Amino acid sequence: MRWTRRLLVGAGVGVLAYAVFGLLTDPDTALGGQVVFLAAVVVAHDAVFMPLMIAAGFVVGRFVPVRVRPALVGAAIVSLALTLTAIPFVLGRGRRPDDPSALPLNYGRGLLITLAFVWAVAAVVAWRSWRRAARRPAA
Amino acid sequence: MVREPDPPVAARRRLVDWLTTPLPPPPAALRRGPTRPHAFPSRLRSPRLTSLLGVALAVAFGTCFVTGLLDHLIQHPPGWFHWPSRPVQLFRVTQGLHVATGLATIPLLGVKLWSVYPRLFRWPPVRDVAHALERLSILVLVSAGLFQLVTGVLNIALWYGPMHFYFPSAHYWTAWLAIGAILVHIGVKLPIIRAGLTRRPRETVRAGTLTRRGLLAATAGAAGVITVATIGQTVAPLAPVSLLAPRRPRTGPQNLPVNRSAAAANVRTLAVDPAYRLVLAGPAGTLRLSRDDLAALPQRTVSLPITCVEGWSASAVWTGVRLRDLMALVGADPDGHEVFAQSLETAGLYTSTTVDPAHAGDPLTLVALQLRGEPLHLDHGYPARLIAPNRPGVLQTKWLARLTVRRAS
Repeated sequence: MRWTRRLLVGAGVGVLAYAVFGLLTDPDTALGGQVVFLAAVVVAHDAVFMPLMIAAGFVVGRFVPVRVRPALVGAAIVSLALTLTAIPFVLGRGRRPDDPSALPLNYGRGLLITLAFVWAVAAVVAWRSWRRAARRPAA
Repeated sequence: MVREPDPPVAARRRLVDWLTTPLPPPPAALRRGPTRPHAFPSRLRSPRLTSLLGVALAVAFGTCFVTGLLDHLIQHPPGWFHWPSRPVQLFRVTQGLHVATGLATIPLLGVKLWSVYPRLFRWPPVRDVAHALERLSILVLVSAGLFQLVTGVLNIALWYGPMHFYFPSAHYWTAWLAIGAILVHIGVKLPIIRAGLTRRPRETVRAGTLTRRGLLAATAGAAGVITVATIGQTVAPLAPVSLLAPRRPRTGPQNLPVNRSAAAANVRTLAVDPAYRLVLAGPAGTLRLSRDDLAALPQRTVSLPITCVEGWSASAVWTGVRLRDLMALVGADPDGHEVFAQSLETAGLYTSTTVDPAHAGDPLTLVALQLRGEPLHLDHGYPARLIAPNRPGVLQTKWLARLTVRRAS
C-alpha cells in the first residue's frame, strides 16, 4: 500500500504540474477570468450553498415528524440537484434568435413537471412508511 | 568510528523533518462557530459513506476525462493520434456519455462534499507543512471539480456570459487539474478508503430517520432523474420524457438541430449567390463546380449522425457526392491523401478542417447536397456541406467553398 500511495501521489503531482504548465502556456487561456471563476465556485459552495443546506437540514430535523423525514429529505436532495442543473436552461440566456433549435423547450414547465413527479413518488413512500409505523404502535 | 549519513539521505531527512514538524497551533480562543468540537451533529456522515461516494465520483470523473480527452485529440490531433472513421456511431456514444456522465455527477459531488464538509473546519487548521500541502490539494480538487460541472452545464445551456474565458481551453486544462488532484487525494486517503469500503459501521442514525443506504439511494435517484430529464438529446426515443434536454434530435430546420446558423456565420448572401462554385484543387489541377455540376455527379445516399460536442446527436439521411469520387476527379488516390475543407464562413473557430485519409477515403463520407431528400436548408450548409462518419459536428464543415486535396503529412 505504501508504494501504491507514493505512486498515486507522485502521478497526481505530475499531472497537476502538467495542468499548470498548460494553463500558463496555452495562448487560448484567459488565466485571470478562469482563476476568478475557480475561486468563485468554491466560495459559492462552501460559504453560501452548504451553510444554507445545513440550516435547511436543521429546520427539517426540528419540525418534520421522524416518520416522513427520510422521504422528505430524499425528495429534497433530488429536487435540489435537479433545480440547480436546470437553472441555466430555465433562465434561457443562451437562446439565440437565429437558431430556434437551441433550447427549444419550456424549461420552467419541464422542471415543475419533473419536480411534481419526484414529490409524488416521495409522498407515496412517506405514506407507506407512515402506515407501517401506525400498524406497529408499540415500536 | 561514527559514519556520517550520505548527503542525499541527510537532505531527505531534513525535508521530511521540515514537512512534518508540528506548527504552533492557533489560539484556542479562535475556535468558534463551525470549528467548535461537534459543531456538525449529523450522524449520517461516515468514512464508509464518503468512500462509496468517492468511488462513484472517481469513476464518473474518470469517464468524463477519458471521453473528453478523446474529443480533444480528435479535434486537435497530435502526430501519433489517428481516429478511425468506423464504427460510425462511436463518437456519438463517447460524447453523449461525456455529457450525460457530467450531468449525473452533479448530485454525487454535492452529497460527497456535504459528507466531508466538517473537515473544512478541522482544528487546528494545519498541523504541519505536509498537512498544509495536502489541504491545498483538496482546495484544487474541490475547485476544479465544481468548475468542470458548472462550466459544462453553462456550455450545454449556451450561456457564455458568466465565463470570462475561452470555455474549451479552460474546461480542458481544468480537467487535468481535477484528475491530478483526484490521484493525489486517492493516494493520501487510501487507508481510510480501504477501511471505509471493507468495514460496515453499524447504523448510528436515529431509528426512522434517513439511513446511509437511504441517502445513497436518494443520490442515485437524483442522478437518475437528471439523466432521464436530459438524455433525450442523445437518445431520441427518450426525447418525450426528457423535459430539460437542451436539444431535441428532431427539432430544427428539416427536423434536425442546428449549432451555427447561416446568419450567425454571415454566409447568407454568398451561399445563395448564383455565381457560387465549389473550388476543388488536387494534384491534377483545379475544378470549379457549380451546385448543378455537383448534382450531375454520381449521387449517394447515406444515413449518418450529426454529433455535437455539447452531447446531442441526431441521425439523418444525406445525399451527395462521395468525397473520394471528388478526390479521384482531381487525380488523387484516396489512400494517402487528406482534404483541407474551407467554408464560405470566414470568421469563426471552425471555418476549415482537415479530413484525414481514413475519413476522406471512407465511402460514407459525402459532400452532401440534400438532407432527407430535400436541398440542404441554409442553416444546414446549403449549397454543400461535409458529412463524415464518426466525427464531431464542428468538423462537418458547412457552406463548403474550397476542397484542397493534398498528400497526407
